[in-house]
Amino acid sequence: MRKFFFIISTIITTMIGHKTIANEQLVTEDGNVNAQNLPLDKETSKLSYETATFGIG
Amino acid sequence: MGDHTEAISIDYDPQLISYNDLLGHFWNAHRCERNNSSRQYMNAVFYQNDEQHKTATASLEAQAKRLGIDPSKVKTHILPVAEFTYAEGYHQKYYLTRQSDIRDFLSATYPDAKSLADSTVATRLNAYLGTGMDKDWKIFLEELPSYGLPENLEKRLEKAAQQKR
Repeated sequence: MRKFFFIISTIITTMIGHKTIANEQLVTEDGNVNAQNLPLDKETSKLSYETATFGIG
Repeated sequence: MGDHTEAISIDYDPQLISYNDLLGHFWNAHRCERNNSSRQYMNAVFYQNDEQHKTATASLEAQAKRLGIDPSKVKTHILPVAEFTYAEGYHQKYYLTRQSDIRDFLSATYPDAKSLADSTVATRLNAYLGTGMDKDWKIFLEELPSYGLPENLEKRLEKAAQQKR
């Protein structure tokens, strides 16, 4: 009986975990730098950079 | 994932490093002659403009020459960049997951995935504390105070870096 409850609770916990992850709102690049709460981030957010994008399988 | 490809987006200062140098690191980081048919995990250069397209194409040809193979044998794709979607927060700054106190501080400072991904401080800490990179601990110690970390974290990192110098 204890084993049964353990299995059920594991399944429920896993489902809740997956639901939480799946619910995270994904955002797309908009050209703005949101990170400005730390001094170095605030400083670098003002600089104009170029962007390189790579896929590494 | 649909038709998405896992990719990294690097904002860089062209005064400090060129696109061609970044391409050099990219070619060294993977085997371009290997099969590359998975959409989700493919090797690819996603160019932003014509200039990047030309530079990437020339670097592919140079890499083929270095390897002694015909450019047509290179399986790495060169494609125009599409909309970039940030991965979930738990995918960002992977090496920091091993440093729970630093990760907790950064997650509290930047609760959403985009902010955490955009953070220069998080990016540099991730690189220094991760593996597979040359690390200049002298520079790290010089710039550490500018990160704005809590005193206890700064002291811990300072001590660790001094031991590694």
